Formats: sequence, structure tokens, C-alpha cells
Amino acid sequence: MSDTDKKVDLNQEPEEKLWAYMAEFDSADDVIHAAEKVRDAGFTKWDVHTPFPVHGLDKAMGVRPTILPWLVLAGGLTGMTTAIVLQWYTNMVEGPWDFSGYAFKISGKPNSLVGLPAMVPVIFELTVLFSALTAVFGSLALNGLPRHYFAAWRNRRFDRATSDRFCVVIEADDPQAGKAKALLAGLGGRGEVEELHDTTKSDALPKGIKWAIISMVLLSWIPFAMILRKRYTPSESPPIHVVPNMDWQQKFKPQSPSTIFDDGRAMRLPVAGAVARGSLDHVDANGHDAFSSGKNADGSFLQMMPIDATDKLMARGQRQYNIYCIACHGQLGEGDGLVSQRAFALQEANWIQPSKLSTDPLIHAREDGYIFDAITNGIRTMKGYGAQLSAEDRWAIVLWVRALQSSRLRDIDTLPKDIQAKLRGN
Amino acid sequence: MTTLDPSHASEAFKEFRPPLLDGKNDYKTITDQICGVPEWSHSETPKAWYIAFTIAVSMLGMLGAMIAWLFWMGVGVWGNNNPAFWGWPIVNFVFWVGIGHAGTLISAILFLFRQKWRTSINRFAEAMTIFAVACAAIFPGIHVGRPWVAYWLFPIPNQMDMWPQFRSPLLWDVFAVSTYATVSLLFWYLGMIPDLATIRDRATTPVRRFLYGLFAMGWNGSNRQWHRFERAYLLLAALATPLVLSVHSVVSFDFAVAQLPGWHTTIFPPYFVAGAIFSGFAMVVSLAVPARQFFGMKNLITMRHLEAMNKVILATSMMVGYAYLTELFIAWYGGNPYERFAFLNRVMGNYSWAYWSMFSCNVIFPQLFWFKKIRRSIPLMMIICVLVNVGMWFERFVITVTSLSRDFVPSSWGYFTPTLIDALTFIGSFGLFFTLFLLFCRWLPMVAVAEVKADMPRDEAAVKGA
Ligand code: HEC
Repeated sequence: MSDTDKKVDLNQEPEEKLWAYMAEFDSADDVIHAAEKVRDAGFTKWDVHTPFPVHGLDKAMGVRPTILPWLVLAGGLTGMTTAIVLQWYTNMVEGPWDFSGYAFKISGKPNSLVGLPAMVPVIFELTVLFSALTAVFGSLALNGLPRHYFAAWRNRRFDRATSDRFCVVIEADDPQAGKAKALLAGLGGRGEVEELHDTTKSDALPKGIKWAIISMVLLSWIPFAMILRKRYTPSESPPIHVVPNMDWQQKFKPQSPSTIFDDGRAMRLPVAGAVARGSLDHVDANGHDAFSSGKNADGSFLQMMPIDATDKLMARGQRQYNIYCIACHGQLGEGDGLVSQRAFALQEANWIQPSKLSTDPLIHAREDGYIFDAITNGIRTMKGYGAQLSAEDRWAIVLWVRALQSSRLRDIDTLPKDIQAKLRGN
Repeated sequence: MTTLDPSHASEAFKEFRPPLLDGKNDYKTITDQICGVPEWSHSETPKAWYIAFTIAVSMLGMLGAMIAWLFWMGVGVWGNNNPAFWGWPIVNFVFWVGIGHAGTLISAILFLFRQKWRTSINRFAEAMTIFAVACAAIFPGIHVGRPWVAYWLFPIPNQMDMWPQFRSPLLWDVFAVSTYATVSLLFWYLGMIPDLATIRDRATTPVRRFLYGLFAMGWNGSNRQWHRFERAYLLLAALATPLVLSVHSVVSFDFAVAQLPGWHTTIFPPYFVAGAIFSGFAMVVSLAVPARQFFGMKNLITMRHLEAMNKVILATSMMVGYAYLTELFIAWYGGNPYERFAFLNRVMGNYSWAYWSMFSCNVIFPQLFWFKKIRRSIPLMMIICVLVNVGMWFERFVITVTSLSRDFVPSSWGYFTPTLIDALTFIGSFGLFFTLFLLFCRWLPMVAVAEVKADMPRDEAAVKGA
């Protein structure tokens, strides 16, 4: 076959051919009776066109129930699975790969499928959404919609099938088409039985539209291709900020300079005479605070701690010591904390060994206020912890240091008798 | 299909059920009447439509201007501030979503209950739903502060490996509202396909034939098509019914899942749903009355339809009133001092004016619908329905603002004052709503032609003769 034969010549009149026979009826009841006759006569390629769903016609025509409900069920199950997988992956799984999920830890809610109740709303919504989409697009697809051409539309009588007429249409390629015209004529419809014609080329999609669709599909890939390209192109330039006011805010960071104030700093100092909360709690009549300074009014160290040594205070002291001091002074106060061990391992020339708080008799002999002062203001190369620890906590640590010392340096004979017996193991 | 066939309703019903439509109608008059509207020429279109449309479009323009100003300046242009960070935007969001409940309720739940009278009003109630949801969707979108990253609401794979947090009610809301908007739109559109085909087949100009034909997607009314169409419609109705109940429940979770006194109550989901149906029906009535007048649909949307809707309003008004009283009772009976304070503050505090506006508009005035005369009086039902919508707006205001402005710690108490921008944005949202609604009434089949025909008495409605 040559190329020219295949092409449809647009100038040539298209070839007309008989497509179907049509009978028209006034009322729904009439068309039901007619449909029953056509069905009984054994036609297969036929349909009834009505302006609204005529109940009883399905039975009269012998239309079998559609599979749509099953499709919708499948759609719904897909939606449900999608929702579960989506929430599980994005909120509970995390790893070093691209597009990894992010394991949220929110208000102690279980971060696994045990947390299912909180996922129910989205599961429900997606189940409904997927089912509904299947119902709509499934029914359209089963109905062959969208379609741009239907042969009967060429006949003006058929126009009223969508407003007030009921039409039975039997196609000409039905095996029994020969009997069709006579049968329809005998059904008592209105007017003549109409012969519907079709042409050989009329159902072709117009060329322009076809190419428009194809090019639109192709063009729609361009943005995706561009995104993909960008993802795999390394770049030195900073990320694009559409609105940069989150990263670059009009505010001063701590310790930064400013031209607004005379002293050139952005941070403000407390006004003269401001006192911290609770700092006046232990001040005596002369304005001296032995509790927070660890010193007497004449500047000498307090011999005894100004707070009752209770079990509770001891426990507190142990806890705070283990947080603040253990790293250098070691668990038992022997000056062998991990920081120190590491410094020696690295042979740090400037490292000075932390004092042996529990075994150095000199420290054992010092006043409580001395240790307190060392914690508060630091001593020689050690930094002070006054800013981190409250006065009460510092006294608690002093108590704990004293306890550590007792465990090492105290003569066993100075202990109460029952404890001596216990320690000697008899 | 027999079990689902409304036309098989027992003969006995016909005896005491009045006909659904007024006057003498047949398939042709119905088609001409409904499909005639989109075919109106400019001179046939009532002046009132042009006037209304001009006003609506101007209001829409104002909405656009307000949103542009907001984006330019930031959310500071609103009255939202510590402690009432959820000001009018959230109030308006809940208000509009609530209105958007009547449409799907009428088309889905009344369909499952075989309430045939729904066919005259379902199409434009559904349209109203979609437009109300569109208005609602604007508010959380512009409320996020950085609307240009509003797409972060959706789980879109990104280079930051950043995902939404699925255990937050605000995220559930994203899914609930977008599912609802999608399903309502599809339901509305699917139902309209046969009617669009009717307009296509009547078209006298090629442009109209092409455009309506495009959206009719090649429907030809074959019985095999109708069979699947009806199945799809039924399935959608069955899906939309739990959906419509879920949407406002999820919206209520935005409040109920928080610990704030006045929000943290288990009654919220049913209470919100009842309120949504209540306000939605009130909006349908306030739109149906002018629409049937201007577009000559009085024989289709009859006084019986309006009365039936007024009865629904009366019933839901009492449900809402019951919820208000239960809330107060539980606040007292529950013995939680914060909760007690929150409710005493609502009733007697510095927002009591809002509480009592809400209470009277929602519970007291609708009681007038007990009287048949009032149920059937056009001016009175218009007044009551507008009041109901005012009241329902106040309900959301009372819930959102009174609770936020009086939380646990007195040092964080405050008083919320809206700005002019707040008010103009809200008014502007009505512009969007009415613009869409007026376009719909003018260009689309406002009543479901095929559904109305299917429920007409078959022999009387047939067009015999020429
Ligand atoms: C970063 C390591 C480090 C931490 C933490 C640390 N210290 Fe020290 N501390 C030292 C060093 C080092 C010295 C010895 C300073 C010197 O001799 O120059 C020292 C000295 C002392 C002394 C002085 C003893 C003497 O020789 O007279 C006392 C008391 C003391 N520390 C108590 C504490 C207490 C109590 C804590 C916990 C609050 C603490 N230190 C935390 C490193 C530390």
C-alpha cells in the first residue's frame, strides 16, 4: 500500500455509512416496554438513551451490575495502605539516605505503629479520598468518557435525548441488524424509525488537538528535569532565599557592637544597684552575707558551714559534685578525673593536676569556708563555679568533699564504736 | 438496583405526600426553565444580577488588596497578638468550613435517606459548599505567616528531609479539609455532567456547544452510562456521609486536643458538626430565597422546600443549644477550677456580649420556627437565617478568643481587639463567595435537571404531541 492511500484526504467528501437505527419515545414507561421487546428479540449491540436515569430500564435491558464497587473497594484499601506507609515512613523511620523520613519524638507518644490512634484521622481521610477518586474516575473510564465523538450526535432528533425524549438505538453491526428496522417500527414510538449515519473519518481526533496534548505532556516534564539537574549539580553559591528575613533578622546577637548606645555595645548592663533574686536572703544587720561568701565579716574563712548537715544535703552534695567536679577531681576526690587522665595521656605541658581533695591532708585541715571559696571564685588555675551553683548547693558540695575526706583520712579510732565494729567486720 | 430506587416508594406515600414541585411541569418545561438561564442573552439577564455581581467583584478585589497588604507587611496588620494568636483568621476559617457542610449533607445524607425534596436544592447547596470551602481554605493559608512556604503543609519529598508532623491536629486538618474540598468538587461535577450535556445538545451557538460539550465530556445519556453513573453517585454519597461528619470533627480537634480551658472538651466533635449543619442550612436558605426569585425557580424551590430546611435549622439549633448547656453543666460538675472559670468568664466576663449574641442568635431566635406561619414567611426566615449566621460566627469567636485571652496564668491574660484589616479581609471573603456563586447561578444549571426529572410522576411529565 502506498503512502498516499493511507492518508485521509481532507478535501474529499468522507464516505457515509449506515451506523444504527433509532426509534424515539415520549415517556419512560414506553421506552421500558420497548426495551423489553428488543432484549427478548436477542439484540446485543444496542442501548437506550434517556434524559435521566430511568429506573426499571436496567432490568428491561438486562444490564449486568457494574464492577465499580469492587474498584472503589480496591481504591479505598490502597488509600488506607498509602496513609499508613506514608505516616510510618515520614515520621518514624530515619536513615542516611536521600529523602529519609524523620523520627519525630513528640510528647512521649510512642514512635512506632503502637502510636496508631494518632494516625487514624489521616488514614480515614486518605481512604475516603482514594475511594472517591476511584468512584469518579472509574465510572468515567468505564463509561468511555471523556469522548469527543458519538455518531448519533450527527442527527438533530437525537439532541432531545438529553432533555425530554427516550431513544432506542440498535447498531447496524449487530448480528441481527436486518430485523432491527421492522422491530423498532412495530414498537409504537413517535415518528419514523431513523437511520443514523456515520462517516469513515469523523471519529478521528482533530490533528491540532492531538499535537497540543502531546506537546503539553512533553513540556510538563521540563520543570521536573530542571529540578533533577539542579539536584545533581554542585554549587558554591548560597541557597536561594525567596524571603530571607528568617536567616537575616534585624536584631543584635549577644556580645555584638552597636552604634545605638554610648558604650558601643548592644547588650545592656543592669542598672546601678540592681540585685539578683534571693541575693539579699542571708544578709545580716551589718550588710554582711556570710552564707553566700563563706567568709566572716573580717574576711577570714568560716570555720564551720552555716547550714545543717542533713542526709538530704549530703545526697544533694553528692549529686552536684558528680555533675560539676567529677570530671577533674575524680569520683573519690583523688585528683584523677577523666579530663585529667586524658590531659596526662596527651602529655599536655600546661596541665596542672587537680588537687587531691580527699587525700591531701592540707585541704583536710582547712576551714569549710576555704573549700567554699574555692568553688565560688575558683582557685589558682581552677575556674569558679559561683555562677552555676547556688550558695546552698556549694555548701552541699563542701559537705560531700568532707565526707570523701573522712573516708580516706580519718583515724578509725575516732569513729563511734558501733561503726568501728561494722568497719572492722566483727 | 431495586432497593435503591426512590421511584418505587410505596403508593401509600403519594396519598399524603404533597407533590415536590409547584404548578404543571413536564420534562420540557423543566429543561427550558433550568437550562434557559445559562442561555440568557445580556438583555434577558436581570439588572439585579449585574448589580450584585459588580458589588461582589469589588469586594473580591478588596480581599485581594488586603491579602497583598498582609503579605507585604506581615501578620502584624491583624489584631492577633499575645495571648490571642488565633484571632479572626481562624474564626473565619471555622465559620466558612462550617457553612460548607450543608451542601454535602443535602446531597449525600438526604440522598441515602431518600429525601426526594433534596433534588431541587442539592445542586446549588453543593456549589455553595465548594465556594465556602474555597473561602475557608484562604484563611489558614494566609495565617501561616510565611505563606510562600505553605506547601510545607503537605508531605512533599525535599532536600531538607523535612516532613509534616502527623500527630498534630493541625495536620489532620490539612488532610480533612483538602479531602473534603476534592470530594465535594468531584461530587458536584459528576452530578452536573448529564446536565451540561443537556445544555450542549440545546446549544444554538457553536461556542456554547463547544464549551459545555467540553465539560460534558461526551455524555450521551445511554442507559449503560446512567447505570454506572448512579452507582458512582451512590458510592460517593456513602463516602461523603462519614466524610462530612469527619471534617468538622477534625476541625474541632484543633481546639479539643489542646489543653486550654474552654477548648479541652470531648463534646467538641458532635457539637461542631451540629453547628456546621445548622449554619450551612441557614446559608442555603438565605441564598435560596433570592436565587429562586431572580432566576424564576419558585416552582422548583417551593415553600415546602424552604419550610423543610427551616425545620432542619430548628432541630440543629436545639442540638447546638443543648451543647451550650452541656458545656456549662460539665464545667460546673467536672469540678476543674480552670474549666469553671473559663465558662463563667465566657458567660459573665468581658466577652459576655459576644457570648450572649451567640446564644440569642443561635438558640433563642430560631425557636420562632416552631410556628408554621414564621417557617413559611419569606422575610422572617431571611432575618432568622442571617441572624443564625451571625450567631455562628460569634460562636467561633467566643470559643477561639475568650479561651485564648484567659488561660491558666493571669499574667498572660489580655484582650483581643481586631483591626480594620481583619474586618475588611472577612468582608472580602464574602466577595469571593458571592462572585463564585453568582457566576455559578448565571452559567451553570442551578438545579439538578436530571434528578428533578427522575423524581417527577412519569406519565404526567412526558411530553406528548409535537
Ligand atoms: C576543669 C577541671 C576542674 C573542675 C571541674 C573542678 N576543679 Fe577543683 N581544681 C582543679 C585544678 C586543676 C586544681 C588545682 C589548681 C592549681 O593548683 O592551680 C583544683 C583545685 C581545687 C581546690 C583547691 C585545693 C587546694 O589545693 O587547696 C578545691 C577545693 C577544688 N578544686 C574543689 C573543686 C570542687 C568542689 C569542684 C566542683 C564544684 C571542682 N573543684 C571542680 C580542676 C578542677
